[in-house]
Amino acid sequence: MLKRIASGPYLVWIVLFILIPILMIGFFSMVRTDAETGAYYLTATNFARVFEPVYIAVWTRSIKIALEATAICLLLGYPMAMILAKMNARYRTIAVMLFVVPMWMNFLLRTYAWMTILGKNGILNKILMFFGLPQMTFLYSEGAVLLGMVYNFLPFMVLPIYTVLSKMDQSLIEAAEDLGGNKVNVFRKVIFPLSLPGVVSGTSMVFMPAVSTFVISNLLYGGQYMLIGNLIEQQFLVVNDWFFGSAISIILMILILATMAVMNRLSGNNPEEGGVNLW
Amino acid sequence: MSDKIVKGINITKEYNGVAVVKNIDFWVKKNQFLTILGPSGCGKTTTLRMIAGFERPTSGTIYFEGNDITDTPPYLRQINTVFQKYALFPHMNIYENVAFGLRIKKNSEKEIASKVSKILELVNLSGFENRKINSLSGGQQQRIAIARALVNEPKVLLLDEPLGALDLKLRKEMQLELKNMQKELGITFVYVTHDQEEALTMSDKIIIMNHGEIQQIGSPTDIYNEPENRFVADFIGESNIYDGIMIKDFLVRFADLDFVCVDSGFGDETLVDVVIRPEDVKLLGPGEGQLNGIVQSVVFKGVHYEMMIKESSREWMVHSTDKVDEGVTVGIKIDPDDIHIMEKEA
Repeated sequence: MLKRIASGPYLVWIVLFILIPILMIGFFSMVRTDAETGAYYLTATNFARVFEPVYIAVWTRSIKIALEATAICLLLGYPMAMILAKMNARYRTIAVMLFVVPMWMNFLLRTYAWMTILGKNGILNKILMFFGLPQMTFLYSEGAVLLGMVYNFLPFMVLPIYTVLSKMDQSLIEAAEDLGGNKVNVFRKVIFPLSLPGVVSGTSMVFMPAVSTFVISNLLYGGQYMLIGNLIEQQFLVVNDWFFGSAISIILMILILATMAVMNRLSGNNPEEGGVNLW
Repeated sequence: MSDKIVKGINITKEYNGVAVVKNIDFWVKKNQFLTILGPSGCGKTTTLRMIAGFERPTSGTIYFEGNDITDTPPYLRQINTVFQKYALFPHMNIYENVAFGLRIKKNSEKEIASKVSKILELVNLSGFENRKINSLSGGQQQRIAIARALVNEPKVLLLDEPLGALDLKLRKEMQLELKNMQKELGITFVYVTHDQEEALTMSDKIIIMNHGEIQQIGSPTDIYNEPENRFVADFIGESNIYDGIMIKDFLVRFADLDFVCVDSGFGDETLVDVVIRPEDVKLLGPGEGQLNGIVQSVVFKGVHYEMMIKESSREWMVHSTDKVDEGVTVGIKIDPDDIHIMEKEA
């Protein structure tokens, strides 16, 4: 009984801020208003538009850059997590803090900081000029967006992998060495497979925000570069076409859910082995 | 070449300046079942881990078949380990777990299949190839851990308290099975345990350790019958230990009486520890023994009764199949060859 009362506010919260908005988006995605009467009518045109070639290009670009950001995060994050997990306990806490502290700062502020570094008269170009080198355009490029994504989402890759690695039973590693495994064998056959739940969590936690961001692309590329996030933002705030915006949102949601399902299947997800279960 | 397959000379291991193993020497003969026995924290597991190669001695040298292997990494040693908590790979089935070492050594699939099935037969787990680790009981996991090590045909098998997590009955069965396997396969076993009974049952030779030092090395009978010091006497089986004085050879005074004994060479008027095993104390009618005491408590232990007897200011633990009731006065008799004399520790 007490449990029920205690969960009350949470239920209200879910209904008000999660369930109702999703239902509304679902509703908007399937209707349009009649130009004359203003009445809603059921239609599939919103969804049909999502698959027009011009928008397919936006989807491809978004997914491609999100995949790239995820891959870079994994390549950078896995070794970092390994180093963290191997650290002496005393320094480890500090090192993990260093990863987490930047996240306490506002996301926008962190991204703005990159603008001042990468800009035409930014720190990087000043350094180049100091050495008599020609100025370069860093900002407003796909590379800058990629950098922004990697910078902002890297901790989400490092932390779940670090958690799995630091909880790993050391005797398994010793057993592998004992059975004749050198460092490469031990990593390939024991450490990496056992850390997969962490890799899956990290990958999902980077890919999801990367594929739907609009702030990073807005700030580091500018208005003319269109990712799915920007497209949705534009439909709601600029074009005022909530119906089309909702349809894109629904498709994006399905895409993310499908990705998670595939990732979970790939890792043969077993919650007992640690790692974050996203379901 | 000597028949000492593993030898440790002047081995010391320190962690942050604290020595957990203090300058010990040991050796294992080929095909021997050696047990390192001691209470927790005595350095026995550390010693085993140094033989396996997981720890490097702070000083000293470890030899394997006469070659210095002190700096050889574990994967290059012809030694395999059965870990305390089995350490089976949870992401592999039984077959893959057992085949792990063979795959690394690049055996052919056919060879692997035949070796794995042979070894699973040996541990009575044929047909379990495709089972998952967590679907096995503790005892079965233990057998797989042993199979996974033995399939590599190591020259020495190290076992770190492998039966600690099993229940008593299973433990007894596994003790016999392990001993049989060791005899049949002709592999040298180095076994670590804190269970003295286990050590006495299985071993050819026992090393008793305490506080990082070796207390005694000997066969189970030697160690039980002739403990070298108070610690060993106390640790191996139950003991009555009293302060005594060696009056001269073959005569010792303790419990305010002079007893004839079979020990000599301690020097006259030397302070000694006198050990008498509870099962060696004979109870007679009052006045019929050398001492008299009153039975304080009687506990039935299955095969025998354990009685505590108060005599003067001393307590005697007595094991006997004949029950004597509480409060009864009894005579205590000790035969000369049941008196064990040990030098007092400095």
